[in-house]
Order: sequence, then structure tokens, then C-alpha cells
Amino acid sequence: MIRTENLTKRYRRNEALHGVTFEVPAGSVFALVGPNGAGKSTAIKTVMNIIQPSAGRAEILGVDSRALGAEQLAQIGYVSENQRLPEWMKVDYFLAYCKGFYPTWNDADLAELVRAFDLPLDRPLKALSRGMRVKAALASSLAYRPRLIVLDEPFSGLDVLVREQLIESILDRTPEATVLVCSHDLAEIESFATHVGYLNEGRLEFVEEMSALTERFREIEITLESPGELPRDLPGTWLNAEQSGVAARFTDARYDAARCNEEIRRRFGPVSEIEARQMSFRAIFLALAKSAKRLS
Amino acid sequence: MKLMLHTFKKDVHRFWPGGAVSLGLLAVLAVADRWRFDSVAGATEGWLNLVLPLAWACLMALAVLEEPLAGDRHFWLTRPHRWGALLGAKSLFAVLFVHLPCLMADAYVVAAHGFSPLASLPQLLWKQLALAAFLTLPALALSSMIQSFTHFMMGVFAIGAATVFSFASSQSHGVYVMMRQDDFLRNEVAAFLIAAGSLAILWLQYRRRPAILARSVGYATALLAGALIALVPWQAEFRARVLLRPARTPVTLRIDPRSPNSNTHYWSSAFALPMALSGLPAGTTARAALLSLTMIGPDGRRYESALFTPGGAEKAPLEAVLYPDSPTPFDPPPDPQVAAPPPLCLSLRLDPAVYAALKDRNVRLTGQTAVSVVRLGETAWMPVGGRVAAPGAGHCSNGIGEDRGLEDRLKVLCESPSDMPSVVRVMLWTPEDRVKSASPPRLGIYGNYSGGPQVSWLSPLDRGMTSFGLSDPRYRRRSNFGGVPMERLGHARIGVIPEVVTGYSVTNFDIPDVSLSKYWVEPRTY
Repeated sequence: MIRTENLTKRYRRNEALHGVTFEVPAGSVFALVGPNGAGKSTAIKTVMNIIQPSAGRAEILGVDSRALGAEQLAQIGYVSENQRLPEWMKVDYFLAYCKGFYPTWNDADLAELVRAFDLPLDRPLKALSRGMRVKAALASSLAYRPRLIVLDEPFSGLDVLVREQLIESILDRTPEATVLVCSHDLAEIESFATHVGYLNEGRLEFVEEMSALTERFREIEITLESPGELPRDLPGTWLNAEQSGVAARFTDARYDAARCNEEIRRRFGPVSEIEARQMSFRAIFLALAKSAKRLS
Repeated sequence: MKLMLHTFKKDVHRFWPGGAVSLGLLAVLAVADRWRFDSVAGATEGWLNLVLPLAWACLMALAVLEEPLAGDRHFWLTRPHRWGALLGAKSLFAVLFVHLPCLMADAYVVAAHGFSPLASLPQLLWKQLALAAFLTLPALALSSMIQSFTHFMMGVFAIGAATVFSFASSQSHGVYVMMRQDDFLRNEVAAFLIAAGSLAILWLQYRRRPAILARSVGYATALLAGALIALVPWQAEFRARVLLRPARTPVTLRIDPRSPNSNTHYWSSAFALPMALSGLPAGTTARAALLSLTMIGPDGRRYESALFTPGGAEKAPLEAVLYPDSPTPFDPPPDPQVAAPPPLCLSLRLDPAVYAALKDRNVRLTGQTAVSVVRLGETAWMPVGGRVAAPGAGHCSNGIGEDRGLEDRLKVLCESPSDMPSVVRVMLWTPEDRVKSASPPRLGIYGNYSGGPQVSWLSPLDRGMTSFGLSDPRYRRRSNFGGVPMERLGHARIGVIPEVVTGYSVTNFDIPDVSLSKYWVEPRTY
């Protein structure tokens, strides 16, 4: 559905994206995550041909992003947090206007979306709350059943109920669609992403399936038999290691129970207890972000 | 086509109030123009000629900014627009809200003034092309490169200021204006440049939105057009005209044995050489100006002349100007119906050191002259108070002035959907006086100042006016000295003769052994 190769975007001396390569498989929900300023929106805008890459290339629906035309855009639904909508339009006019661009537009789907989102059709977009505006934009992007849905921080600042409602709508109404979503709201990602890519300072740190990701990350807590200092030269996959008295902990980014236990004993000496806890996606993300910050 | 109409309908839905206001303003302008029988626009028409183009430009900008091409946050960027359909929708908007109503208003005005709109269609369409080149295309192009209407207005004021500066910087001295007026090559090239630049910007922006490249094209176009208007000397423009319409016969400039008119020397103390053009075809006359002049002293020393431009050549050791040998460049020919080679005067001014060295010596004068060869068109006659269709000058009419200050003048007005020649001679024939030239002797923009701007560039009619002074016992208190007695108007006829340029040439001259002292003219005393 989407493939990028060494995608690079420079703004004068600033490199917003540095050789980013990833692939969004058909039918997946691909979450591009990372801290603010990591380059998520830049990556999405480049893929959508809103901005041009400085180097590398992106392919979307089998077409080079720079050649993305009306034919492909008619199969893509795009919603962004900072999208400038035609605010003078009333909701009903806005939806009717959008309809003119899509041969596959389905009025019944739209009616359901309007009802589900409780959209006030007779009010201008500028008079709507942010949440309502996102709903209107999403309704206008789902009513033609796009093959690909691209969401650029669509839910930031929305309350949990609205967020859940929007996610449900996307999953229910376009079950076969591929979704590329970028967000720093990890809770929303965790609930529906199948793949995740982690961007940091314009570099893609990793891309993998969500299940594999949660499988390989563990939060390790160790209770030592005697107090001591944190050993030097810990493995690079042990993130954010810290020790206080007899308690030490770190995040293992390549968890393998046997290897981890053996490595702990070798480096820390006698331990009375080792506890390996599964991590939520949010915790993984925080660990990664914290580690990156420490390294920098 | 479907997408184009879809977007166009949305733009109409959004901007119909603004469009309606512009149509209303256009209607008022058309009515004002329809009832104008003067070469000068009234205050309402003058203001509308400024406000309406601005309103149109704003309307174009607003339509384009509905789908802004600069910036990366706009909703429409990820919708399946086709660039051709989008540009087509904006163009259709320009046609239906600016060009078509303007064309219809023009047709109404020309029809009301007795011209067939159908026969005038080429001129009316040409005007729409000019309007597109100077207004709608630049407005569309500018708004395609910016993100907001505020930026657009800032751009408009910057361009407006630059335009005024460009025109103010261009040479405007009487002699050169006369040479430049023969046609508007400079303006046409500038229009073509602006239109081409605007089209290139629109093509770039709607196809790929490379804002930096498009802005570079915009700056380059503005600089080139500004430089063309402000910096390209009229001499270069004239040489281009020679290439396009060369005169068929060679013309030469020589010293005329007659004495120069004592009132004609350009400066209060100078050498005034009577000059003549020879080689002009029979029945033609000419307008001439210097392109270059070099004076070579007996010792072989060369003095390149600075050609006189206002305020520009005060410090040059030699200044020269060639002009009609009459008290002013606009004086009438002795007989307006006769095309004869014009008497010319070459006026030279030397700085004191050069003067002291050369005043009693013989010098050689070489250089080049720009010559516009002109023939007279057919004379169209009309009785006092009547009308006539004058070939080349449109419809002409005359009458005793009704406006305040013109009660003692016989006003002659010609109007045409085509551009009138730069010189249209007007004369009055009476059995007693025979032929008398108008004052001024040619059609121009004359009339009463009515307040406000006097521009009328949106008018489909080119108008020119002049008048004859009348002497009438009723107005004796300020009756015109030498005016035509009212009682003679009964048998009088008014003749209108357009001057038609047949070609341009650049003439080399080489005049040896010129004894400067023979041509010294004393300082004027007042």
C-alpha cells in the first residue's frame, strides 16, 4: 500500500527526515509514533505528496508519491489535526461538496456517519468545536470507503469518548482499508495498531508488528542480595538502567528469559529475585523516548 | 469538465455577493461612460476606473485562495482535484465575473456611441486580452503564490507602488513622448511579458506547486517588466520599431540654408542649426529626434552628446536636441491639409571650456536620427454642430461648449473603439478665414477638471478632444483673442485629418565643416 525508500526531507540545514524506509502492508493499521518533532507529519505529508522529498522516494497505491493524482486520491481518506477546512461552509454543504469528487461516495454510509457523529448539518464548520470538525472531516473521508486511510494526529486533544468513537467508526466502516496513522497519543494507537514504526529525530528506529514489539520488550526489576553500584558496560538493549541499594531495574528491548537471567547474574552478581513484566505500548514508548533523551 | 464546474459552482456560491458588487460597479461605470461626451473622465468614472480593477483583482485572489497553492495544511490538497479542472474553474470564474461582463458593458457603450459592437468585436476582444495580461492573469498568479488575502493586498500595493515608480522613471519629455506615442510597443511587450510570466507561474503552481521556483519566476517577471518600462531608453524601443515596420525610402538629415525660427532654440543660449529631412516620399511628413550625435573638433577630438533628457544631462560637455522648428513641439503646421517635410532645429549646448575652444572653428557632426514617416489620412468634414465618421479617427462631433469655462469654445470630440493615431489634426474652414487650426491643433485629453482621478483605461472608446476659441460679444469680457467670430460659424466646416505612420527609419548623418559661430543664438531676455 505504502512503501518508502530512504525518504529524506531537508528544510535548509534542518533534516526533518533522514533516509526513512518502511512498508505499510495491505490491510494493516500502521502507527508511526515518536516524540514531538520526530518527523511523523513530515513523513506523512511527503507520502501524500503535500510536500516533496529532498531525496529518496515514496510509493503509495503503487504510484510514486510525486505522481499522486486524482485517481489515487479518490481512494485515500486523509484527516489531519491541523488541516485547514473551508470554514465558511456549513456541514451539509461541505459534505455535498466533497461528494462531487468521489465516484464511490455512498449516501447511506454518510447518513450513518452523520447520525453516529451527531453532526449539526446546518452549522458552519467554523462554529464547530475541534472534535466536531474532526468528525466532519472524518465523515467526509469515510463516506466513499477509501482503500487507504491516512491520519495525521487526528485525535490529539479530543476526549477519550470521542476518540474511541472515531476509532470504532474507522474500524467498523472500512474493515478492509489500510490505515496509516501518526500520533504521539499512545493509548489510541495501542488499541488498534497492528504495526508500529518508531521515529526519533527524523530517523526510523524500528518497524515491526505490534505483537512482536510487546513480546520483545520487558520491564525487568532485580532484587540484589547486597547493595552495590550499577555495573558499567551494560548491553545496549538494556534501556534506562538504574539502581538504588539492592533494587535495580531496566527495560530489555530484546527480551529472552534465559539469556536475560544469565546476563543479569553475570553482571550484577548474586540476585535474590528477577521479575520480568510485560509492558504496555505506552510504557515501551516512554522507555524508548527516555533512553533517546539520555543518549542525546 | 464535471470537476471544473463543481469547483466553479462552489466558488460562485461563496463569492456571489462580491461578484454582484463588482457587476454593480461595472454597470455604474458603463452608464457613466455611455453618457460621457468629453475626453476627460468625470470623478465617478475616474474613481471607478481605479476601484473596479482592484475589486476584480481581489475577487480573483479570493477565488484562488479558496484552494491555496502555497502552504501544506489545506484541506483540498488531499482531495482528488485535477490541476487542469481547478485552474479551469478559476479561469471560468475570471471569465464570467470579469471578462464577459466587461465585454458586455463595452458592447453597450460602443453601441450607445453609434458603433456596431459586432464590427468592433476585434477591438473589444483585444481589450479583454489586455485586461487579462495586466490584471486578471497577474492577480491569479500572485494569489497562487501566497497563503492569505493579507499577503495578496501587500503584494498588490507593492506592485502598484513599483508600477507608479516605473512610469515616473521613464522618459517623459515632450519630444520623446511624441516619438513614443506612435505606437505602444513598450507597453505591448511589457503586457506580453507579464502575461507569459503569469501563465508560467499558474502552470507551475497548479501542476506541482513549486512555490520557490514560482516566486522566482514572479520576481523575474516583475523586474523585467519594470525595467522594460522604466529603464529601456526610447531609442532602443525605436530601433525595435524600425525592425518591425521599416520605412521604404532612405531619409537623410541635412542643414537647411534657411534661418532657424528665433523662438525655437531649446536653451536660452545655444547653437541652433536649421535642419531638414530629405528623401521623404511625396505627400508625407515626418517626426524626428536624435538617437546619437558626435561633434568632432578640428583637432580630431570627439565630443559625444548627451541626448537631452529632463534633469539628466546637466553636466555633459555637449548636449543636443532635435525638434520641430516652431515655438513649441505642438505648434500647428502652416496648412493642416498638407504633409510637407517639417522644419527642424538642432540645438547644441556646450560647456564653457568646449564652447571657448570651438566657437570660431569648424566642426563635423555625425550621428543617427530616429524618423517616423507619416502620411495624412483622408480629411473628414463636418458642419458646425454636426457629426462625421472620420476614417482612422472614429466618430467625430462638435458643438459649442456647454460646460463652465467652455462656453466660448467650439469643442471637437472624436471617439473610436480602435486606438486613434497619436496625432489627429483638426481644422476649421470658413470662407473668410480659410483654414484655421484648432488650439491645440490636434486631438488630445482636454477638458474640465472635475475632481478625483481622471483615468479612463477601462473605457472601450479612445477619445480625443480639442477646441477652437470663439469671439462672441456675449463673452467679450474674456473672449478669445483671435477667436473665430460666432457669426462666421454658419458656413464653417470642421476637418479632421489623422496622421498615419507608414514606417520608421534610423538615419545616419555626417555633416562636415559646420561653422558653429553662424548658428549662435543669444541668450533669451524676458
